Amino acid sequence: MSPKTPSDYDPAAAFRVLVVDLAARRGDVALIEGRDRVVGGSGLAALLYEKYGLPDSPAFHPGQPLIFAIGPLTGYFPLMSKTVCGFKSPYVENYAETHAGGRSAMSLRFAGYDALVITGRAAAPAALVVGSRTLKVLDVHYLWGADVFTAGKLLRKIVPGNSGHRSIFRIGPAGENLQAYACINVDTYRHFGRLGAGAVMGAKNLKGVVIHGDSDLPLPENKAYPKLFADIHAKATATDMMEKYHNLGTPVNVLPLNELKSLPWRNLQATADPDAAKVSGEEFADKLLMSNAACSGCPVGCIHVGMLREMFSDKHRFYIRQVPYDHEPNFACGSMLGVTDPKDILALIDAADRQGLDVISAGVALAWATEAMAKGVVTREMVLTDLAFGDAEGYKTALYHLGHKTNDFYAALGRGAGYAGTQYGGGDFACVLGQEMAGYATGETYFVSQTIGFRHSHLDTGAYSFDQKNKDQDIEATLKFLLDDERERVMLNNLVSCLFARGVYKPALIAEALDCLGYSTLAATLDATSETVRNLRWKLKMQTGFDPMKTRIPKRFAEITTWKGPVDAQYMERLRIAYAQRITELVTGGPAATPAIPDAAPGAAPAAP
Amino acid sequence: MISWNASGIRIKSSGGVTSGYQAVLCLACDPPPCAAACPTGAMSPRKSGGGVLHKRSVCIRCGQCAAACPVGAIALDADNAPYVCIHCGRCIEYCPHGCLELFDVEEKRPLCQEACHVPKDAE
Repeated sequence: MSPKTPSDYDPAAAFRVLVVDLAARRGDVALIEGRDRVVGGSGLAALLYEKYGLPDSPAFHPGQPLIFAIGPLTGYFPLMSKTVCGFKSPYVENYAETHAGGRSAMSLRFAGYDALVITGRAAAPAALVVGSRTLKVLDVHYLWGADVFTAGKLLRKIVPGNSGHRSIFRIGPAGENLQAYACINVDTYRHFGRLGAGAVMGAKNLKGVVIHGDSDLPLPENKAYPKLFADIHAKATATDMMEKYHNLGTPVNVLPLNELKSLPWRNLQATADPDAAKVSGEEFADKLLMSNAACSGCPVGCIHVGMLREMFSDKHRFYIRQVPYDHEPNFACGSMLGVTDPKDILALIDAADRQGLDVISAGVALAWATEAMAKGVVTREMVLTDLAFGDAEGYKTALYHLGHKTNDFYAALGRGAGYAGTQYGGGDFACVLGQEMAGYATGETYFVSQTIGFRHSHLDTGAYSFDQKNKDQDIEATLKFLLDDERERVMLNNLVSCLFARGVYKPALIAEALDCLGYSTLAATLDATSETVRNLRWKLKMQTGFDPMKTRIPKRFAEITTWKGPVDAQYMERLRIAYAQRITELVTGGPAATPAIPDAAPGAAPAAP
Repeated sequence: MISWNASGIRIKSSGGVTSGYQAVLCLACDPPPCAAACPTGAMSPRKSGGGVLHKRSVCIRCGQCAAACPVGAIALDADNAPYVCIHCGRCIEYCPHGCLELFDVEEKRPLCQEACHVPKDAE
């Protein structure tokens, strides 16, 4: 049997991976063993980084692989709609992951690949086109400098065909300029958002990737499959997921978070504000929501698209933009910047998207810059505009400069608020937990979880939810929650399921789904493979330089009050050290050296390298 | 010859009139693939930069230039004669919304005409 066609290999035995070398403008279809060990998705990305990665070389080394991986259930069951991007992050210089949906996962599945690995650097700005019978590296030098939306519009024209059944990744100026939190835009409304995968594309001279989902794959020939599909679909659409994620979407959290003193305001100078009512999910839905959209393979449709109507001349001429919103971008461009007009928030999300910036990091970094400017740490000459909480115009200008790396200040800020703090001072109020914080000021557990977590993301564990329900300072119980929850999420990351479906895809159901597609070994070993992949990911992160013991939590996080009362800096530090030890032990197998419990507040610990 | 296609710039609806319009025009590739595809030298890069020149006298109307353009900016008329933007800038004053602009290649701006919306004080 030839491994060159998508339908005649045994996916239970091997992964089918397209490995493209941009410099050579050629690719290789590789059959790679390891399915029973790493499942797919997150595990497959880690396996491929082990095989193709250069752990000792910098993130921008041309030989570093940029990996996109899907899982065994992708294309066959609802909500298996995500792709894992594995890469060495220029932000933290460690092995990292970022996830996205859109059409990426289904397009890869129907192109006939479990993963796409991109290595090398194109001689000139290029677009990679992949399909079941297509592999092209196109010269698109004329797209260099184009913003994300223009690049998308032209890529649709340059690479015609399969409309609706293809996925288009592209970067904006931020990725081209190697800003460390440049994102990869996926199909306009979704993003491989965090930790700088877009800059890795920029370093490869790769402006865009088009994946055609244009092959036919065998349908499972058993009676169990259609029945199970119908059951899962019914569960997914009958649970409160529809209400929670489709109706108001994630911005429904704003009012409860504000009520719990857990919503970051104005660079986390406050955790609640009466103005929350102006930026609530209800306000966005009532005033701006124009449509919902869904990733391919999802019946829920959590993507909320708001209508931004802006007057571009004083003669009442308007243009209308369709801007996706969610809790995270809303927080980063809203409460964190003191911006409380939903229209302004949409305009800032649009501006960050246009530059191809991770909107969370960009908003939080600008929040730091605003406070730094007010305190005289940085000057207007450096910032090139006036930044003030609540003033959207200044932020729009600053987002342009961030994307274009206009001067040394924006080069530093483009490496993160924490880095800018080391250059100019003001690190104590940089809201950075491994990377810029997500929109949850819920307390010690969340701050520790994002600081140490594998992706430095609010999605590593449900710590933000744990904080909202638990007031006790019980380190052992908290660690058990963090470690168990991480492992459960790894199970979903291997598939790769949308995490919004975690209430549906319980282990027994996952096993049933795997079984009816012929993955009986995987079905029987879910706990073991989740543990294996969790440890493999950590091994790679540490092998590329991460030391959980050397993390730190800036002082600002110890200066706030949540529903639980003032953050307890001593407890947070003890929890950080205890969690760091457990994570270290996962890789080393033995206990990590126990440092003395510090008596100083967070922020006194040495900076991470 | 007058038609919607016999023009260096063509305005098309993009996803239906409800979604807005798109100007289809030459992006001034360097080097231009249309010139490389032309078998007679009728299409050649402008020496001063900024697009191509088309010599009708030596054009055999094979249409290969249009096929080679990555963004479909070369239109062929009913007789297969190519029409391409010569970057003269005449269209600019006719656009009521200021969507079009002309700049020198030395400015090193993105060749892509629809690139970043630059805030006024960022320039």
